[in-house]
Amino acid sequence: MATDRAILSFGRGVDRATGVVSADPASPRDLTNLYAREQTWALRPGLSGTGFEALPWGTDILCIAPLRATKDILFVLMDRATREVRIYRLNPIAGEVLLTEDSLPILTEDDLPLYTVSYPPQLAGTWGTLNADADFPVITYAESDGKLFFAHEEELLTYRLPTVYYTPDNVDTVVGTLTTLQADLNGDGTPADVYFRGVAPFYSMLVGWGYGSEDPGDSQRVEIVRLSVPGKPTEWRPESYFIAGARRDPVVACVLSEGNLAVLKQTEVYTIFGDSPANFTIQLTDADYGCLATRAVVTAGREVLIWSATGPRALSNGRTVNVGLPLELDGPRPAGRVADGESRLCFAVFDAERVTVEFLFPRVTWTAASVPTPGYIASLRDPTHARWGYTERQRCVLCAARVRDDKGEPPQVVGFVSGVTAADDGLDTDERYRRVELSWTNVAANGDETVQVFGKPDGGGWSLVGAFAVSGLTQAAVVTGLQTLTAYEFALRYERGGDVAAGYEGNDPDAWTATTAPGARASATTSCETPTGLTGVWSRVNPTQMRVALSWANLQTFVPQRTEISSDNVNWTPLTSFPGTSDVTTNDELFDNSFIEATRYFRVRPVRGTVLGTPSASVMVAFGNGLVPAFVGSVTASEAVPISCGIPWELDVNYATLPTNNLEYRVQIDRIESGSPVLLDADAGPNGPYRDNTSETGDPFFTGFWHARQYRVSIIRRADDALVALRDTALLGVDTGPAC
Amino acid sequence: MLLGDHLYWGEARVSGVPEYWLTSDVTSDGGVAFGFRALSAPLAPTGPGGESVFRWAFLQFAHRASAIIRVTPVIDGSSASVATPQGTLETVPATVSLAQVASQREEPSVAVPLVRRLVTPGGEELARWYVRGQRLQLLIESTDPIGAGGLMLSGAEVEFEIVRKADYRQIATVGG
Repeated sequence: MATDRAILSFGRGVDRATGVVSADPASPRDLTNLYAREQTWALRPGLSGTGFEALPWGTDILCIAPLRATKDILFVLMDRATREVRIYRLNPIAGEVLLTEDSLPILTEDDLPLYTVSYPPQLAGTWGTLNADADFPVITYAESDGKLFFAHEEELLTYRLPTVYYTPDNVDTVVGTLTTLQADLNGDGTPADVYFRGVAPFYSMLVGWGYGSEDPGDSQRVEIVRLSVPGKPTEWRPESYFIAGARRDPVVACVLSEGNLAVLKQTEVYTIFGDSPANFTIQLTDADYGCLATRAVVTAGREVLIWSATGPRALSNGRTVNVGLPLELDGPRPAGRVADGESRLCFAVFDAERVTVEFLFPRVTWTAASVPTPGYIASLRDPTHARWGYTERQRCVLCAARVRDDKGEPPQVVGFVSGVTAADDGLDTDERYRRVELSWTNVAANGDETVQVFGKPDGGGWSLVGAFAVSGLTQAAVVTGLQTLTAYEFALRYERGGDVAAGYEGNDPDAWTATTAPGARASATTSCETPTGLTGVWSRVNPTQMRVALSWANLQTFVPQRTEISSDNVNWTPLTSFPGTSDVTTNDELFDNSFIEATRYFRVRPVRGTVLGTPSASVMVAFGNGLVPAFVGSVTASEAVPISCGIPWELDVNYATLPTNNLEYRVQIDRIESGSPVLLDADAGPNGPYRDNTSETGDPFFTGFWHARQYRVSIIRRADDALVALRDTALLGVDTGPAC
Repeated sequence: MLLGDHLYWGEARVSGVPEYWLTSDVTSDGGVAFGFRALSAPLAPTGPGGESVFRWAFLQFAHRASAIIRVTPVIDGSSASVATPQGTLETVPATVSLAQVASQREEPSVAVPLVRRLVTPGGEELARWYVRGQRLQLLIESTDPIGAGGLMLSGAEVEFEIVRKADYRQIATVGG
């Protein structure tokens, strides 16, 4: 017979199901590491280096999650030895990309050699430590409102890590923060940690499933699906949830499908219809097929593919359609193909460039990470039917995600600040320091720069004292931790990722050469809180020394101070200085007796070098005496006008005390008559003489006798009328019979 | 390769810091080379029964990558050797070498004979003839590391000659 030819058009997917008689010879029985294109089979893509920095820790990458809001890439890592789980952030700042050894080494003249500039991954936080009996972890993530949420798919609540979210920092070069999601899910008014088994985005809401609330018995409501407040993924209302099917039959995954939220269980699909909390309803839309694992679901354009217990299915209007019949998964495997790994670790990924979906089954246990990683690749280039092939990844891959790594080299910093003003802004939270408020105008800012503030104290050097994200046309910020009573210079510049504008290089503003640099400076002298509550108390230390005890309060501590004295409350003289190494609030000022009964004013004044602070209010102190007077010499009585008959006479009482000016004491004069004192003068003054000008004319007789005169001089303390000293004069004259 | 939208992949390891990669047109996964394998469905020109001689397969490739590709005819589901009194009847895989191409993609058409040979116990080849049987499958697989730049299997043509349309061997009846 003549020869004939049969054309085998490659490009069909695997077909192991069709019988031999009817099978199209162009359909492969085995297609490994090839995928179907238009009438061809193409080699599937490999894996090459990204050009970014290596991860610094861990043994397993549990999850790669893109944060589209900031074009960051987050990695959830685990270390098998410690079972610790951490989240790292990669800031994929890149310029041009250098093709690595693994990638295309042959460049045509149309290819541009590129290089990558990148930053090392930054630790965002430690999520937790897995229990020794926990399943190998499966992580889901969802971005909502600029935050990235992570959930731990673990059946046992006690082994499950709480749901956390990453919030990026306003400054791109600074790693964001990791926060445990808390919500009041039981309506008791107290937020508690949330333990979702999975999270997914749903328009402006976040979906979390597999957790009821912290109430005992409610935490294992694995059939519950919760929706956050629209636009507020950290806010959850207790009543905002759906029950999907039978209790204790867990929800496996949730995915947006044709505008509705598909809730996937292992053998059922529920769909939440509606577009707002006001009109949401939930219906059972597929009663027979569901999803095998939390990550075994992928969106490919308009298509949603899941891997069910019986193989791959497409989700359409809430129902699933078998798209994996040609694989004949219930039949023998292709020769030489390794067995799939544990189904709960299955993950799926969509390659938008090649229009393929790949489901992988990593062969991973707590003690093994085997290669190859088997997978199933479906070409969706013909959207009417999936054309399947097999993959065998030669590395043990555990996760995959579609990310943006074209963050690009940030534009060169060209902006600057102008119109800088600076002024003391009061007491710092640390009472040892002061704050200074700076204000300035931003010029030609890109919006993502950091304004660096350099400060130099008088006599010191420059140092970075503050950094603030640029914001607005005019801006103000407060620098803290500044020394009191110090003249500062401030200089400001823009910075981004280590780059600064031309002419602002280096950390010595005195060396900046930009013409705009002088305008980016300002000066201010820090002030100091005024001492308050000053009091002064006089007392005598000893016969030759007196003391004024000063006491006051300092709102500002560790400030050099000095006491000052004035006689007129106008002109002041420094007294005692304190170096400011401690919180001094008392001091005794010593004086000699030249200040007895003087009046002086005192105050406390902060001072550092030549910079004077505001003094305290002054206090007036009246000096006392404190010396107890004593008689000097004898106490006598003498005749100023001699005693004689018929004419008035006067007698002087002569005494002297020392000191003479202690007004705390008085001198009292008594005449002794018939042995008893008769008060003549209660306050005769501090010193003699005292004149008893009693006149007796004519008959000096008292009952016919001359009366001799005798006087008593007493020194008495005014405060309590206590007798301090007493002297009696001699009798002046004699008691005689009548002489006239 | 341009920056933009990429697939990133994360590794699992028992020990040591894990690596991460991106999807790219390379023929290795993180530095470990991989190959490919395709096994076509049976071509039975005469349907069940019958016999054909399959002479040549003309394979169409599109590539820039270098590759050593082995094409093995599988007759009636087997390419295994058969022992005969005269020696061993072996299927002879054909080897196709594709050279690395610097710039534009090339689309060579390669003619591959579909043959068996008889080899004496002493290793001497006594004869060759085209493979013959009811149905043919082509097993196309890479044997060495593949170069860079992509590789596609665009199709094949098989030249055959129908020898007879029915198998004169007694066919077991069903039932009766």
